[in-house]
Amino acid sequence: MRYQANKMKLMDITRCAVFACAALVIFVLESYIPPIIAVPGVKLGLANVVTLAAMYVLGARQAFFILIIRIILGNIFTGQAVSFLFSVSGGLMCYAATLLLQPFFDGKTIWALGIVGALFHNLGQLICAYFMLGAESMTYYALVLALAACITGTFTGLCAQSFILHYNRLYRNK
Amino acid sequence: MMKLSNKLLVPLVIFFALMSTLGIFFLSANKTNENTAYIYKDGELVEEVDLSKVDKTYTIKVGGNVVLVEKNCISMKEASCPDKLCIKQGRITNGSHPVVCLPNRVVIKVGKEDGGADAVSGK
Repeated sequence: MRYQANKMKLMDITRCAVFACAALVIFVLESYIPPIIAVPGVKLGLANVVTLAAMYVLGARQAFFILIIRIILGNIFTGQAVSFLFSVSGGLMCYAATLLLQPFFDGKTIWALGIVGALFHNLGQLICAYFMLGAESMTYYALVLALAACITGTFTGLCAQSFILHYNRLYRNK
Repeated sequence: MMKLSNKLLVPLVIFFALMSTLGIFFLSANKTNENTAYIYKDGELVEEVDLSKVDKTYTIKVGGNVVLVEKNCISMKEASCPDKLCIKQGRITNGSHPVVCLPNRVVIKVGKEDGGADAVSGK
């Protein structure tokens, strides 16, 4: 009995570790992609695929720890002084919004939750920029980031949705 | 909990994206008679330039960045930041959007007067 419980805990921890590694690698690799638009903060946000998938497949608590690990280690590996604050604010807003809205999305609609996450990620970064730069002409960037969030959020949301679907089929017999 | 369906979500997202695009176009086309450029470093105003009175082009050094001032337009010429996005943002001539160097915290904005509704914060 105790063996089974310990084995389950170990599998849980191992799954979290694998997800965290994946998130970290994706984050670091993505930082090497040159920016496509000259607006600061527009990027693919692929690491959110892992966070979103973990939310459905592992649980909210595990997803939070994976997020924290990715933010801290990812910014240690790739970041400059400023990027850590932006990463934290974006990541936490994204997580909070995804957590609160998760009951409304399942199965075929998870892609929309990806958009929501991307939107709130950008919102968190805008708020951080407000405090750091003094809020000059934010509306233009807010709109550009909102549009970018729709596009990239759809892509990452679809990736997560597909992953969740197949993971559930393989490991949970759904 | 009530699950939202794709029939609702797909049109909603498309609508939102369209609205954002329209908003961007309207903001970019906003040409008013603003001719004073303000340069902020770390949230504080460091330079004020009247662009209509510029006769020959010159540069201003702001921290690790170099700002190029020309007749009626202003841009970032050099930057010490790794991504150089601020240079790629090119020239601005009106107040629709600023040129921003995020890592060095430099903001170039064209406007009527300083502040207005948005107070400059930070030290």
